[in-house]
Amino acid sequence: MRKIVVTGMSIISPLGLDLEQTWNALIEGRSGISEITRFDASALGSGIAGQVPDGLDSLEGRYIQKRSMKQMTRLTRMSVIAGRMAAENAGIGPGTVNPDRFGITFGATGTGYRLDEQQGDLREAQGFRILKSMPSAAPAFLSIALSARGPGFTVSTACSSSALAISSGIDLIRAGRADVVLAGGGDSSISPEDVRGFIEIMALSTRRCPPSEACCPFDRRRDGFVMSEGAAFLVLEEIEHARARGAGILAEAAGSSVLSEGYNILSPEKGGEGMARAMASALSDAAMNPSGIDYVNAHGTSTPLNDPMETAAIKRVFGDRARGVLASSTKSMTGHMLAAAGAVEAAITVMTIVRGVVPPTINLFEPDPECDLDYVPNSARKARIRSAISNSFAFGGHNVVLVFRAV
Amino acid sequence: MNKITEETKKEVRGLIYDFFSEECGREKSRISDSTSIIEELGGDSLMFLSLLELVKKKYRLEFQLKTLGKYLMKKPASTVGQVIDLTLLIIQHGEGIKDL
Repeated sequence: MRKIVVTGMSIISPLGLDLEQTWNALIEGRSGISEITRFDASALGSGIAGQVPDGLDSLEGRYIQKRSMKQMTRLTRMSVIAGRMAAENAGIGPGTVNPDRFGITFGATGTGYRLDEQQGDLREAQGFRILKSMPSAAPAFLSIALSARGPGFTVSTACSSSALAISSGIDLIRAGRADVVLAGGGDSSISPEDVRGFIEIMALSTRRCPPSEACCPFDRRRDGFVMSEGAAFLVLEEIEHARARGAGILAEAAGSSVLSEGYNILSPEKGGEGMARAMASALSDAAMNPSGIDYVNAHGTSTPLNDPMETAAIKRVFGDRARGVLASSTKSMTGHMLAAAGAVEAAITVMTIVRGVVPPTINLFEPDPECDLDYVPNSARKARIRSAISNSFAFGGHNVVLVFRAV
Repeated sequence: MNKITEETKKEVRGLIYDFFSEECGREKSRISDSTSIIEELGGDSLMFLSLLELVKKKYRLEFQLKTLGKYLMKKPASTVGQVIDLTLLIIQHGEGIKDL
């Protein structure tokens, strides 16, 4: 089987406009959650979110042609920037890879085409409506910008979408359909209609506390997730191809699983059974035993149901060793970046291998008795991470787990 | 049919150079009549729609997009110079360009 490595990464998140800014904030245990400033959220029931900081405009000017900007939603713009940053990080530019063997996979839940923007575009009749409505807009624009002429598409499995994009990228290279795949995803759902929608299904945190403390995975005060936005990409590459062009190798993308629970549209399967099945399947795909895993980047949403179920799932998979595995939720700092979360957390997981530091789960001061693993509470921890997994568990029971290993 | 004066020709040329310069983020001095809109400027076919709206407003024309679409099927315009010529034809003949 072809061995696949990660040769470049990018993150745009509420914690920063690039990978290093985001990573440094994570290691410092800083929260990216604040009051929503983009619109008046006072009547919505939840007025907090993780918004990408100021400065995106200057990146847009650098990475996106002015003409194309008008044809893109905020989600597409963020995703195109993040995709190009990851390609740069991997040293991919004109002539460095065979365009016909260069693919792009993207995870999204929609296009982020807000109602007010749609109404404005209908008045102007500039012909942008269709382009802004295309779920495949980001990989399309990226393929043009990067001259990528291999497979290119968008996948959608709610909050595991971008993890699925990475799994799909692994599959494409394994199948010999591409040598390099830019795989990731984006989300920019912070809008009155989406905040209201998540409130209606009781998914968001509404408790009264400072915004930075609202997301508290595995803590008994948790009452829902906090929405956030961003985009992230990994450059996946067949190892000999990477070596031949002298690329820096960050880690091996050793395996993945994509499974459905077939149980409930919103709730995870009881006892974390479906989650455990996904983790075990990913480890099997990577030809690894649970004993080889040092770190789990938990899905850890801070919802009442996810966190104990995920804890139970980790115990099922790791058995007696479960309490010895580090398992942190970086959503405690980034918030839940929805379709982008899987790719963001995959990049963070690779960083734990590269840097030998595990980001903490912040706001974990009153542990839930049902959540009794080592979640790396409140402070980052130095640790040698040889192999790690990243969990993404979505509404609809769409579970994706990615396995990364030191090279 | 509208009469095309030298002044109109100059005005249209300026308008179109300004349009492509602004939309594609390229200095006017780096655009010429032979510049390819898609391959050199990174433009797209939707630019015709934006440009048509601009021209319709400026010259108070009644002109259907589908007429332009049909005309372009017969006689494609891919360079800046060809777009200038086409714009002048639209101003001169309006809907009548379908008979040209």
